Amino acid sequence: MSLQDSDPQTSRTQQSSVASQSTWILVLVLVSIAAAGFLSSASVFDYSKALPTTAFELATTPAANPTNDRPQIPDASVPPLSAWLPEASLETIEECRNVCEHLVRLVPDLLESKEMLARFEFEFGDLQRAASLWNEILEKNPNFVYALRGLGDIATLDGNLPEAIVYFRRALNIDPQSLSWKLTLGSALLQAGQLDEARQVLQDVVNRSPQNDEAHLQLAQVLAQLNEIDASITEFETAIALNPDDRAARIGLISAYGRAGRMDDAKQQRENLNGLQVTVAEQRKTGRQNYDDVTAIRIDIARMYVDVARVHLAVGNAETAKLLLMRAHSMDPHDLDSRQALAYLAVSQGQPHNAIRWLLEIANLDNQTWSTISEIVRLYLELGKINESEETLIEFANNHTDSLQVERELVRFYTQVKPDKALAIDHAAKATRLSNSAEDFGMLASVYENFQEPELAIQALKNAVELEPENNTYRELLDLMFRDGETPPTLQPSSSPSSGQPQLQP
Amino acid sequence: MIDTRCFVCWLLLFPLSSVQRAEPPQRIEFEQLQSSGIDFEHRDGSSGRHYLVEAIAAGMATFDYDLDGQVDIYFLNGSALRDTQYAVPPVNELYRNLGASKFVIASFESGLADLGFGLGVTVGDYDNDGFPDVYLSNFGPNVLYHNNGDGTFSAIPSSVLARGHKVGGGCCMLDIDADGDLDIFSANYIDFSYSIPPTEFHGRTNYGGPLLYPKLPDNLFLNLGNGEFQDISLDSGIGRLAEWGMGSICFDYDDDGDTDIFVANDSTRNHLWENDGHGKFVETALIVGLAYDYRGDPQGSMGVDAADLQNDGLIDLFQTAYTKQLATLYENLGVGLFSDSTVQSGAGAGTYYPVNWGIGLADFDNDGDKDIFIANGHIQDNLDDIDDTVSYRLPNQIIENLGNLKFSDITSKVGSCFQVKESSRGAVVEDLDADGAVDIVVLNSRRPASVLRNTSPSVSNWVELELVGSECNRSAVGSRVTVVSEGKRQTLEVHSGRGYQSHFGSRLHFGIGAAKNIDQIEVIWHGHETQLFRDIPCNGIYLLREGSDEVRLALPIMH
Repeated sequence: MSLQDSDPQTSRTQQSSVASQSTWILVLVLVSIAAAGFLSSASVFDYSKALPTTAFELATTPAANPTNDRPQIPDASVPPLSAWLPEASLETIEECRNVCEHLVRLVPDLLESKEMLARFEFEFGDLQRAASLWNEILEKNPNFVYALRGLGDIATLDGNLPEAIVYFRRALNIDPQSLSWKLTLGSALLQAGQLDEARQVLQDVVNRSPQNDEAHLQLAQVLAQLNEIDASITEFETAIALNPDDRAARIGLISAYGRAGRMDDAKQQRENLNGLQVTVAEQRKTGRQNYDDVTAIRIDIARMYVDVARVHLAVGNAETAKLLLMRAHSMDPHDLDSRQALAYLAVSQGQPHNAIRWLLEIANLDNQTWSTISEIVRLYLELGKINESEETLIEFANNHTDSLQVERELVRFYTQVKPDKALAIDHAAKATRLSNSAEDFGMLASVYENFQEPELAIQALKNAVELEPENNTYRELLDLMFRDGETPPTLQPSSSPSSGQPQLQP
Repeated sequence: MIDTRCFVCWLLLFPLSSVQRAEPPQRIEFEQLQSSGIDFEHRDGSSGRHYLVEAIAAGMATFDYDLDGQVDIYFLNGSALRDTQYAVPPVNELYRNLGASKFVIASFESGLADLGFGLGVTVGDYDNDGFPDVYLSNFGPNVLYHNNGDGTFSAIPSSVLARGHKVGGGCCMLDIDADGDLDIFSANYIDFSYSIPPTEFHGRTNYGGPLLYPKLPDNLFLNLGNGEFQDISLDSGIGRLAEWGMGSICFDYDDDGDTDIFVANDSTRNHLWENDGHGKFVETALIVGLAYDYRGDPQGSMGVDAADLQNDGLIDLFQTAYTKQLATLYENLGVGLFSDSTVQSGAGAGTYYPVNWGIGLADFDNDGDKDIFIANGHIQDNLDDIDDTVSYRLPNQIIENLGNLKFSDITSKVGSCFQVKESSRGAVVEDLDADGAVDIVVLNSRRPASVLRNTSPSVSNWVELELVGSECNRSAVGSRVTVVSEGKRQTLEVHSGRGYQSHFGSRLHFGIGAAKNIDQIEVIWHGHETQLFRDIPCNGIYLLREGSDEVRLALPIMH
């Protein structure tokens, strides 16, 4: 099962960068996990798990894939890739071809290298050559799902949906639990007009992944085609609830309301859509100012370079990977994947300063993501830069006044890294206001207790017990604190904000 | 930005041709008409600098300008753009139909040799004098040509109608308020400027899309009845919204007796302007189901035609679209709503790769239902160097109506002329030789036109009707005709302006299969009474006059 499938909540937007991504998504997840425990002496951020072979390993079945004995030894006779990279050129497509062909020459027996070249040919070059490469891959490993998908895509481009459906079915058979394959198959069936089976397939995706807005949308479209208007309305509404920016779902819902005779609802929904359109129009206007076809190609190729870099990393070619990631970074000033990868490389090479540089770039591009900030803070602390980590946390907290995560981290920071009673209590109290959860009242209690305020700690614990009366931990702590003459156990803030309970320290 | 990894999205755009059905009998055949006298070759004013206006030209028209009963052909032409020089300036060309598939050029004698950069055209008798007039939507000033009744036309000087230096789109005549004279709708495409550079793709200069240019609201001109027009674009509501307008068609979508306006907009939502019967319009495409395809995606909409494809008395729409989109069948559900039925019907078969332009719905095999003709091409003239999935020049298509809202792409079976590759634009479907079989004429960008004669085995019967209004507008635009033969009903509406910025089909054609007689013809004259005509022999072209019970053979037509 691919990483994408492991998260049934995957949204359509997330799915748009499917394959490149699982590795760096994993990095993000690990960063997030690591951030939660940054105060511990050893980071839980296990970069070794982020080795970028993961996606391919998941894409193939080991028994049928003779190339899984990685890493292969690169061919030393192949000159360094830098020989092919022009400093400044608009001929990025030719450059990308060189990059992909270099990879094939370097590790000719690695199926993933051919996959990269096939993908290049599919997206920028010769479809026939792409098909030929994918067929070569399938001869060596009939279960290489990316090749099946590629051939399915070519079949659909040729208008040969029945053949495409065969490829997508094969991919699904290899990984029957894959919701993304099922969604792909369902889409193809819908387009082929095989509506009954499309409904069946998409209904299964919806059942197993009720938060998948794309699946709800497509099921709604199938139902509308089948003239089951009321059922389609339900699915359109669900898709919109999950993704309020989904124009297609709103448009479909307007039409469905109309067909159901609910003209007032249709008009109201049209007003909602108009509001959304204004936003989209503004974005489009800005996009047009900043965008042309050359830029588009550079952005697409930057993504490709991140994937190629991943293969280089898999075969131990870190410097080439870094070169490609730097190239991707310069080609697409807004690309997160290359920056995440560069940060990962910097950490793995013991260069936390460089890692912080890339993470700060990511934070500037996407200042909503807490995990990036928490990793920056962790790295600052690793370097002993307490003030910088504090400033980073405070800046994020100021910009995200409703972020529970940053408040919890500030509590820990002011409790353990740079003890400050007032600030620790202040942030712990804010966390309770944001969440009104037993977990945060437990944390507040631990802060009070830590700063010798037992009465206030008891009051906070009472609140926790009130919120979670069935939780014995809070009740036992409270009982202990009430016993005269007995030293209560020490309450420590949880090492993980998701663990939910204060920990007893002996 | 296109996310090339978004395979789900890729899939969602694909043809829908796999609906299982029996193989239809082969009954439609065409051949290229040779030695017809038509030697028109389109010029687009190009110099290699790729100004977008070149790529979107042009529409064409068929109509009987001299009322001799033979339908004549009028091709729009481009003109020199910046950096282009022609020794002999291109002009629009009129070919007079002599009968027996012979034509003679009559552009200069008729006065229709317009020098403007022609994009759209429509035909109708705006002054009700009995002779069809011509309105041209140009890049540059639009022009209304008055038919003098003696085989010549005169350009009407009108600053109102000219509307400045826009890139026009499709145009139509319609009677917005049922006052008996024809008003003019004119779509606008882009606010063109030479200063906006073309795009670069794969290191080559290409035509940029319309989104590079400001969009423009469309125009509506009210016929004041004295030969003058008033610009009521804003007052009517039409001018309050702007998109990149291309083909347009006017028809009564909700069966309420007035004429509404559909505009195929490029790269954005389509417009459906609902008429309140008094010339005030509200845009309703989204709720009606005509703004986007069934996936909620805007299309690069190009041309549009309307006809009752199911013989249920409801006028359906068929719209052509850009490459990697399906041409779309919008099924009229009968309650003022439409549904994109392309998937179930297979009507989009084979339309995914080409850019579709011209569109004509007509019964090519006279079996009693309307088939689909689509003119294909691409805008990028250097496409073959950079993309192996699609070409600049492509074959056109015939999609046969199998009944029960099922269609089949039969292009490969209708004759070698459908294997010829051109970059086609405007097209008309019309019975040029009055043999009861609908022929096809196609304007090909930068190339000679294609004239395709319908040579299908004549096993079926037909009837053609020409309407003359007296209380309603003389061209009977907006009138609706239902033909009943052996219990089968077929409905058509008289349009002025349709397809890809073209005009055709003023003479209504009905195939009636094996039926020998027409039991009844019901005419709802636009804005006026309903009239019945009974027991009409098949295989004839008839003239029906509003208020007269007489049914006259219409060859030659003498109004």
